[in-house]
Parts: sequence; structure tokens; C-alpha cells
Amino acid sequence: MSKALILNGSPRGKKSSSASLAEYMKILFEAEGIESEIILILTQLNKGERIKEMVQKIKSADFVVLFAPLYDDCQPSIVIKTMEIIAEEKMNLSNKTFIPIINCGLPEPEQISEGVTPIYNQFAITVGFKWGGSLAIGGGEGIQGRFGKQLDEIGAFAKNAIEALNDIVQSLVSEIQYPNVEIILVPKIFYKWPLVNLMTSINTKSWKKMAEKKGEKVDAQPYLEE
Amino acid sequence: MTILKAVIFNGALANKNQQTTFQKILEEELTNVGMETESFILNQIEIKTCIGCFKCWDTTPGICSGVKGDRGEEIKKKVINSDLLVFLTPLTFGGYSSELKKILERLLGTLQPGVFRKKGESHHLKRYEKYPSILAIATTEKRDEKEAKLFKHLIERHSHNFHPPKHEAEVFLINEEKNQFRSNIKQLLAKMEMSL
Repeated sequence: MSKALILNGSPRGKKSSSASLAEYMKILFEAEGIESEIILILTQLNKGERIKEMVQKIKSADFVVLFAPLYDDCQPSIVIKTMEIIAEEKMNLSNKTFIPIINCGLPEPEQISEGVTPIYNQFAITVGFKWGGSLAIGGGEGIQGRFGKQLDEIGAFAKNAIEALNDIVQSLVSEIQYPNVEIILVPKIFYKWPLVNLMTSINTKSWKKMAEKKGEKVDAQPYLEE
Repeated sequence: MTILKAVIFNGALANKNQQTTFQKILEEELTNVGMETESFILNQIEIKTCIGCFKCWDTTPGICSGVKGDRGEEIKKKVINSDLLVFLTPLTFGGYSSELKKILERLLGTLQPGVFRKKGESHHLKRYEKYPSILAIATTEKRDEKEAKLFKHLIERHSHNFHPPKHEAEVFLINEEKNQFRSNIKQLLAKMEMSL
């Protein structure tokens, strides 16, 4: 029986878009009779013995699926650390398929696929993983995993993500190469003129309001020296 | 006379080559062009990773209040008040090392939440009028053109989001001959017009 290891690389841990996506992926794997386990990179990196445990789990997996957000155009530091550890181990990974599933708060999945996807690909090539394709999810912040919501609890918004995760599991089961896919969770019409100007303005104003609610100015300039 | 300031982030990993020779040459060349330079060897400093709480945007704008008990904020203050930020990182699959990235993600508060659109992409707003230029130096044991290209592209994208007036990125072999490295750094600094 095949085994899947799902790595949640979100610095927000269990309350994150990555966690919501990962939980759903686990359900899909299990429906196909694939044993799967989710581990949190954040807590796994805490101790030497937990790092060893993570390495062992990678060694015994057939599929390694990484869920992570995009942080400043690339991987969160904890994910880079994990990649450095995997490279250092010099394991034989040639029979293991690696798939990164990356989400970003900004709406454009290109922010992921043009920057960090090739870095993940280069990592896979360097350490010897089989590249299983990738998924870039634009507007991932809207998944609301931050508030503990699961993917199937947020309605139509998650439709594209659910479909893509299904496709990935099906590709793995039937050993068909999954391509590098980009999806956007907000309907594209919102990011075309004229609605885009409205969306941009709503986003900016909502942050301002949130800060004001806490008695703060969103455009404060602390730390400046004359 | 205003003295220009430079901050060097040395992102070497704890148990690896510390890039000390390159750091020293960078310090010397920055001093030569009249800059006041401060270096941070990141693996020797307590810096915690960003936890993605957005408190630096909506609760204490510009200030990280989600992570406490480390030197992240002190370093961020230096960055905001500098003219040049130097990344010195082992090339890691075409990207940054985990050590460099942990401080970079703590700089999110230097941006303001909300977005503007540029060339069909959304980017975050500026919090400050002025940001430091970026000189990004990656070191590698084996030259790989694909990785070098990825690194330059990453710095290009980083620059769309972090508003440096100028940015340059270059990859060097870790055992690059010292004088060659020095002369390349001189050229890069001249290209960036990093002197008064």
C-alpha cells in the first residue's frame, strides 16, 4: 500500500490555509486507500529528535506533498530549513514523488509560479525527488484556515482548490504526471478592469479600518531616525 | 555631511562555511566608498521566524508584536535607517538560506498593508518614503547557471515588493579568488553609485 506524507509548512501551523488544504488532501488520500499523515514543520523543527523523526517519515513515504504559503516571494524560513535538512541527509529519494502546493494572499498565482515554484523544482532535482507537478493557489488567504475553517466549510470559494486537490490525488493513484497548475480562488472578473480598482480599494480600506479599531494608524512610521 | 549607512546580512548556516572572507571584503569596500557598515552574522543572533499573525500591519503598525524576546526589531530599525542592505547568502536551490530568510520575513512591517497594482500584479504599499538599495551576493560551491538565474529573478521579484531604489544580484564561487571578488564588488558598488 502506498504511503503519503503531508508536510504542513505554514508558520501559522494548524490555523492556516495550508492546514485546511492539507486536511482535505488527507481525506482524499484515505478515500483512495492511501495511508497518509500530516506533520507540522513548525513543531517538527523544534527538537533534534523530531527532525530525525521527520526524516524517517520522509524515508518511508511514497508521496511527499508540501503545503506552504508564499512569504516574500519565496518559501517561509522554516520550509527552507526543512529543505536544507533533506539535502544534508543525502537520502535516496528517487522513488518518491514530491509535490509542492503553495498558496499566497495576493490574488495572482503567478506570484508563486514565477518565483518559488522553480526553486522547489530545483530543490527536487538537487535532492533526487521525482517531480510530481505543482499547484499555485492565488488568493489563498481567503480560505480562512487562520480561523480554523476547513476547506469544505467555506462554500463555493474553495471549489477550484477542491477540484485541483482531487486531480492531484487521482494523478498520483493512476501514475499520470500532474502538470504545474495555477488556480485563483477569487473569480477572475474581480481582478479585471473596472472591478479591480474597487477590489484594490476595498482591500486597502479594510486594513486601515482594522488598525483604527485598535486605535492605531495603519500608515504609522515607527523607528525613523532624523 | 551625511554618512551613508550599510547593513550586511550574513546568512551562512551554523555548521557550514561562514563566508567570513567575503563579509570582510564587503565591509572593507563599503568603508572605502565612505559608508558606515554594520554586519549581522545571523546564525549567531537570536532571531525568531515570522508567525504570520499580521500584528505588524493591523495591531501595532510597523512594529512586530507577535514575536518577542529576540533582536528582530532592533535589526529592522537599522534596515529602515540604512541606504544599502547587503544579502550574503549561500545559494540554496536558487534562493536564500533559511538564516537569511528568517530576518527577511520579519521585515514585513516595513511595508504597509493594502495593495496597489503594477504590471497586472498586486503589491503591498510603501510605509516609508525611502528604502535601502539591495546588493544580493550568493555563494556556491559549484557554479550552476540555472540556480544563478533563479537567484537574480528572486531579487528582481523581491525588489518589486520592497521598493529598493537600486538592486543588484550576483553569484560567486565560495572559493573565488579574493582579489577577483573584491574587484567585482567594487564594480557593483560603482554601478549602484554607492558613494557620495
